[in-house]
Amino acid sequence: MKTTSRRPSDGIRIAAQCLTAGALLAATPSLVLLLIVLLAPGLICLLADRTPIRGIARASLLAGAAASLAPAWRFCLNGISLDHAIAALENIRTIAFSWLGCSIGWLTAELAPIGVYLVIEARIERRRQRLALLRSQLIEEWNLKIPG
Amino acid sequence: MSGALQIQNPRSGKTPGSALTLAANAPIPLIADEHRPNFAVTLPDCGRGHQCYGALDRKDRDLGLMAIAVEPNTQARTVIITSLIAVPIEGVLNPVAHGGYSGPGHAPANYVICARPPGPSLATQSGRTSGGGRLALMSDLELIECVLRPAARTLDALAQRRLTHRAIRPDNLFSAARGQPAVLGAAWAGPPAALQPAIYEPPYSAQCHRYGRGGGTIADDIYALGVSLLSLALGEERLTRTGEEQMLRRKLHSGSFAALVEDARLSSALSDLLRGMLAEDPDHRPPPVLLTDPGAARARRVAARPPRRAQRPLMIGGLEAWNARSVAHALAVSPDEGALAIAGGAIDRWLRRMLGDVTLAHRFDAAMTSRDYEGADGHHAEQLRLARAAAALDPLAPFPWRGVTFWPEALGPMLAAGAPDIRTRIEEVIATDAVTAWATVRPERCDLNVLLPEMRQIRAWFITRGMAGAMPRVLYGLNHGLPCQSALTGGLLVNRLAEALLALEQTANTPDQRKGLPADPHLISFIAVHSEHRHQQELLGFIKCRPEALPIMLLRLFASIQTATAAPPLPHLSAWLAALCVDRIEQWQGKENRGRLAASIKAAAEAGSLRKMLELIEDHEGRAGDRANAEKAAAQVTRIDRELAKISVDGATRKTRATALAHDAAGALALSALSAALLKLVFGW
Repeated sequence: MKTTSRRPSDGIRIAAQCLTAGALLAATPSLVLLLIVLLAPGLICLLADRTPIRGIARASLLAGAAASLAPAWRFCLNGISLDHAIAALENIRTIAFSWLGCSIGWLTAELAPIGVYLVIEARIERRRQRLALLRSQLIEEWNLKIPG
Repeated sequence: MSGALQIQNPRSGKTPGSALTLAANAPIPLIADEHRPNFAVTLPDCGRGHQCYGALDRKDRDLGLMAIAVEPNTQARTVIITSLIAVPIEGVLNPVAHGGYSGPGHAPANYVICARPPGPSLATQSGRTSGGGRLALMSDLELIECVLRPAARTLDALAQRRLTHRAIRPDNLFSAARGQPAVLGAAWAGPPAALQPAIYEPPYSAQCHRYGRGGGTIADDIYALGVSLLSLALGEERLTRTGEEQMLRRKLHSGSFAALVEDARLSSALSDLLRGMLAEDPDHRPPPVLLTDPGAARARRVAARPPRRAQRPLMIGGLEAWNARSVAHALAVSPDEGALAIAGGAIDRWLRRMLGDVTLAHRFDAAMTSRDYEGADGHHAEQLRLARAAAALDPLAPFPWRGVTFWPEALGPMLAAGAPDIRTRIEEVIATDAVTAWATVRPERCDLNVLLPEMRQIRAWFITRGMAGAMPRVLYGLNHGLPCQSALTGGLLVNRLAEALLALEQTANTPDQRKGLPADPHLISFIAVHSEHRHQQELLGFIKCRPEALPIMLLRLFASIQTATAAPPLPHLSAWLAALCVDRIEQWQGKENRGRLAASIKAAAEAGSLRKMLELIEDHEGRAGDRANAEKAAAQVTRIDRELAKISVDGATRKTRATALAHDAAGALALSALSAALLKLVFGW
């Protein structure tokens, strides 16, 4: 995966993100705990992703969020507390479903470039073949003395 | 020098017939559309060295004409023939037509159709044989009235037109019967005086090569007439047993009259006449008009100083020379020994001490200290010096070069009919401009205003490069009536441009002869001479023509000739040239254009139209369009190459773009799933 160099504005952005996370942790530590556990694979991806726009982590987190939306909604309706968060996390199926969502997002982000690249290359190859054919036809038709 | 070829019959307005018979069932062409030789009738006593046949007209009638065959490698005397056809002269066998003819069983040859003799020759008229030097014996009165007067009138008429006969001898003088006026025989079917026995020629002509005697002057005819009169008066040819060289030396040593008459008894009237007619100097011989009145001619005496005789002879090459003209002759016949004598100063000493002629010695010295030798190599410089020495010693003597003597006006016949070593000598003469160097020593004996420009013209031909120059150009330039000697004519007689194309067409129709180019220096030089400035533009291209450009140059020339001569279609020659011009088609870049052009050229070749072929090959407008389209195609190929190069180097960029695009798509997909989950949660969908 391609590594990127950090820009000066990244520090500010990271600091803002850390402050937001700290504030959220201070306000609703149970929700943060629940989300950290449910989106753990996506967060790990976020740390490991070195692409410029962290496309893999983004897809993984969004997919994980889609899978974690129902337990998080139920958690909010039952009352936001640490006990409820632990009770929600005791359901292994909830965690598994969320992690599955993260995995699907990650897998999609990892495999999609290969597919897209193959499609693009196939189109390029077709064009290259068309151009080579046209070139040889022109050379033969007009008896051109062009090396190669 | 020979003039332009005039083979059109002015009276009938018809051109001489061609010897080219291509089709088996084609009618046999006639000479001047009127005559043909009758090979069934041979006339051995009329041709005097030439094959001579009877002649028939187009309706096979015998009108009392004969056909004289022109020897191969020689040309008929076209200038005099043309003149006599236009306005005949009384007292001579006038020609009526001239041209090529190819009859069944006979090789193609040129023939001169002229009047048949009115009777036997004077040599045989008395019934005595002409063998062994015995001739008819005639009285003085008979000689004067039947031979001298009519011949002089005829020679006078010839002289008025600046023409000469150059074949006067007893067996070429004819009369209907004894006592009838004599008629001069034919002298038209070969170079002047080529068949004349040496005894009938002045010594300065007799010592020349057979073909190198030249047209001479009417004074040479007077000399021949004088010898003929002497022979007929004595009933024998004089000096026949001495051999030509000995006879010549005696003439040079003692003078022609003394050498020929010796102790023979002649009447005083005839003796006086012959003394004048046999003078060594042509200027001292009586003009023809004077001979029509023998009394006046006899009274005319020109004081000719006899040549000064030395106290002791000068030996050159075994020859004993007692006077200056004998020395000049010895230099001509023994060039190596002569050159040694000149270089060693023997001649100069002999002139001063033995001959005592200081004026001649000064003249000789002046000729030897010339700048003409600069630039010539050693051997040629030696020969140049020898030629000038001979001219200084005897201004009447002909031009000598390496043992061969000839008059410059006979360069053409010499070149045409001479052996290879003669041709080599003539090439040397032209290359060294020796004739000019020789002529400037004797300006009083030749018209330098005429000779020098002619020699410059010959030299210009000689130094011209390419197919239309060098010795073949000189050959045909000096022999307008000579048939083309190119091997490409396939043995056909080619006298005219149209015949050249037809001969080439026949050669092109023979696969084993269709090799290389349909032209060689002989053919192109022949065309250059006979084109009469009509095809100069095309011919100029041959001077600096690259070998690969020769086929198109030939096509231009032949197309021009085909158009100018209204020649028939030439499909085989066209196909030959089309095959040679295939690289011109390949120069067209468009494949379709090439195919179309090849098909058009093939069609034009099959039609035998060289002009159409040329127009197709030299289609400049079409060629420019082809080139422009080719340039467009080349630009398009360049663009394609650029794009292909870009494709080959843009792999990493495409991979990065594909990754970003895929990540965006995955994100969008996940976001869609999140949105769907949210909608389901909020609205229960």
